[in-house]
Amino acid sequence: MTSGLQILILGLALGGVYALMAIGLSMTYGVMRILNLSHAAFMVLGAYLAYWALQILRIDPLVSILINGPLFFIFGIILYRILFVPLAGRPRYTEATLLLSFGLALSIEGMMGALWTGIYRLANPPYATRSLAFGSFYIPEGQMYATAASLWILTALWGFLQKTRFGRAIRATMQNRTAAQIVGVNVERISALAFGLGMASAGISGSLLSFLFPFFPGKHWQWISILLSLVVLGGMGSLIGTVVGALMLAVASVYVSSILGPTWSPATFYAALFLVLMIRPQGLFGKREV
Amino acid sequence: MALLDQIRIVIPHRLETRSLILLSLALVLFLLPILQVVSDGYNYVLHVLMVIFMYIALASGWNIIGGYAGYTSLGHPVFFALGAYFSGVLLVYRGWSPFWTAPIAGLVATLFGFAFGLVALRTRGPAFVISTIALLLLARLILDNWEWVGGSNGLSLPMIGWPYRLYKIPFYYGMLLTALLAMWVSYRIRHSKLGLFLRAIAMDETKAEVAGINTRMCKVIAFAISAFFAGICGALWGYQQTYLRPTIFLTIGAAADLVLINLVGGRGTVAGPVLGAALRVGLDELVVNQFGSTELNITATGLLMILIVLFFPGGIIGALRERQRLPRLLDWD
Amino acid sequence: MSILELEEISAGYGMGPDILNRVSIRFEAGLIHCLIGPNGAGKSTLLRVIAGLLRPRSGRVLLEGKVISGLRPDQILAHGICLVPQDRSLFPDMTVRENLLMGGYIERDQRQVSRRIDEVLEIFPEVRRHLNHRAGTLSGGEQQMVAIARGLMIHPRVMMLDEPSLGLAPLVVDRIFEAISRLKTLGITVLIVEQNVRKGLVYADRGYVLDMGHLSFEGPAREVIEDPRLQELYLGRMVLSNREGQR
Ligand SMILES: Nc1ncnc2c1ncn2[C@@H]1O[C@H](COP(=O)(O)OP(=O)(O)O)[C@@H](O)[C@H]1O
Ligand SMILES: [Mg+2]
Repeated sequence: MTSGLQILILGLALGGVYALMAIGLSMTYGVMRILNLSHAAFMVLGAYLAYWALQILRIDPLVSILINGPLFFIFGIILYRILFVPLAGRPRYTEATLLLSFGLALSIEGMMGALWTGIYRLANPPYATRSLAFGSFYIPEGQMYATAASLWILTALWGFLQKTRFGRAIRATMQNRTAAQIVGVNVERISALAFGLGMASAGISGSLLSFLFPFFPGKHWQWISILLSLVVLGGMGSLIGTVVGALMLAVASVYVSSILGPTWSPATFYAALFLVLMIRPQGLFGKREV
Repeated sequence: MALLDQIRIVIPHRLETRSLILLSLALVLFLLPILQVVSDGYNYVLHVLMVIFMYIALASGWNIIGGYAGYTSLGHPVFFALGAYFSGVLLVYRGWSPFWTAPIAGLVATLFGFAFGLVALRTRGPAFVISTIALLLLARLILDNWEWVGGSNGLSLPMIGWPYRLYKIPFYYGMLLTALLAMWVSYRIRHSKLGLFLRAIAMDETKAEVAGINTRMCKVIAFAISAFFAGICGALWGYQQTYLRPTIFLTIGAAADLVLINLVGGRGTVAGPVLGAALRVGLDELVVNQFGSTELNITATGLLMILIVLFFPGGIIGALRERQRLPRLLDWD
Repeated sequence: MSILELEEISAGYGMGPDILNRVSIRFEAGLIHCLIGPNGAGKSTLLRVIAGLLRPRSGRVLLEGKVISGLRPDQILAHGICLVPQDRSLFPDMTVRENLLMGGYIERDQRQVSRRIDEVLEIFPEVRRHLNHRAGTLSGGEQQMVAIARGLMIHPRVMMLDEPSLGLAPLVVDRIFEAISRLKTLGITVLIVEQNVRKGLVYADRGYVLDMGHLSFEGPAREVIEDPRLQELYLGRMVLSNREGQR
């Protein structure tokens, strides 16, 4: 058994990383109503890139953020233009994006399996196995760096969304797409930008994932359902909700893990999802869809 | 005269060519096992056909919620596994034959589907598919760790006590009947009020609701019915395999199969899943099994799905119908 | 001289029928134009076509003789045509200030935008005290004011207002129309769609009647009010708004 405060510390640290992992997913849905089931597949792809960057080029996973971010951003914009723009105006658009990204996720999973086989990987930078003690509490060093990086990136994203012209346009498009068009936002371009940012966050999360959690190609299904669970808890398309949902569920999962063992910690997310659908389907910060 | 009238009642007034062809096809399929009885060597054919029947039943069932109502489910492998484990456990611990417990397994899956649907289908749109992924992974987690049903090692079932030469035949008939039932139910729903409501939901759920349709109940019922066929198929398939293991049933790949079959054939049409199932198994036997690794298979599934969503969102049936080239033989809507 | 001209515009949604059927209209610079017509006549559709939110199926929209139909909404906005739609289309979770900032979105120079906010607040001082409130929390009349102020951010030459009085109390309606008159004094060409026929035409210089996708007649606003064909077109509603006018 771990003490309550220790659980809280570990949970919040973990939640910070989950928030970064899910923020892109939430934004892509909020801006474009795209439900990107391939988000976590790209995250795992990012983890592989970070892993090999460490193995072969000796690039630290934290440094590989600087590679993965821009790389996935550009890739995301290309992907959006090729795959998602043709779907625009379709009836049942979200459903179409869901199926499309489902196919995308499978393709990426298959390719990762072909390239790197199905064995578990875990990047092993020097800090991955160390722990820092604060009095009677401890925190794994890798986890601490990952959380710090996540919080830093989330803050930067927040500043971008609040203070810059494009950031405001992204928020405006999330709130009212037609209104955004009316004030002259080129919503197609903003959508591409938002999708690119979402993918960049997936790539960056992948760098962090590479040394925090063991991964293999098929692992992304577990990740996507964890991330979607906390997005639904927060309210689909609400960025603040996603962050709050991530923190809450991360703490809960650490708690469950300390009682029932780590095997059952993913079950926390699934159970929470069903509970949310039962009690408050629109999530904590969501608006009821009319 | 009286005799003629009686015949008229039994035989539809105008036996059109289409019904004739389909009926004779069914008759051929019913008689096919005789070949195996008379001369050995047809077990492979029977097996392939049996797998096709299973996919027809699974996909036609999936189509009721996923096609008619337009709610993509990735959770159907759970009902399949539920049926398999239900009948499997009764076989192992009680000795009851899955051929008798399969319909009950179907009902258990229906009940479970109904309960799950009540929760997951409360909202409109994408929350449902998310909850089905979670259901699948949760079921996997539970079965992997539930030692009573063998955990991740699975459960071995006693073999059916028939001679090798004949042992495929009961499974063949079981799956054939299930497939026919699924097609019939799918057809009846498509031409019923429920089917109309479901398609209204798929097109515009808000409008359907405004029109006074109890959309939630319609969706839940559709979901429950579609779970029934997955339950039966699971019971029969598990017995046929002689072992149950979470990795066989509870994968996203298995869920993707059902989606892809419907997308290829034509989601929301009666004939689509049937056509898709035949193609899926046929291609599997001809191509994938020759060259394929799992990775290649997954990649191909994904790419195919992308291409269909982008270029043929109506699948084969939809594309043919759009070009007015759909043969009457396949127009069951 | 006409500033904005529609030439034989036909338009509709998706695969649906033509909602607008070869509509031709000229709007004169600096005047208030009021477009009236029964529900579903296609008035909002007309404004959407001008704003570039809906492509016409045939016909052209000309701004001072230059074709603007076919441009993107942001490009049309850059030509100085702005729309205040029926639902006001504010950004509910943003503050009023942020809404105004978004109004100046097409201007890249942020200092220009800040300066423009001050100018707009001088024209509409009543908006100032709500600057830091979330737009979604304002009353209907306040939202309408903010929507108009937001439209002003781009120095528009033509401002289109879709049913600005919709759902507002009579007293508030007067304030809105008074604000619209202020637009005229700024030299802005105004195009209003109104259900409140009498109110709209009293403030307007010219009236246009749209019925089932056709322009059925037009003229000086005072003449349109008196026109018997108008009485015919919507007798019931006339009586209603007369009564409103007397209150
Ligand atoms: N987004 C839309 N899609 C399809 N039809 C629409 C849409 N908006 C309006 N319509 C139809 O166009 C017609 C005219 O609508 P509108 O221009 O809003 O009329 P008005 O503003 O004069 O009341 C109506 O019959 C309406 O049903
Ligand atoms: Mg209107």
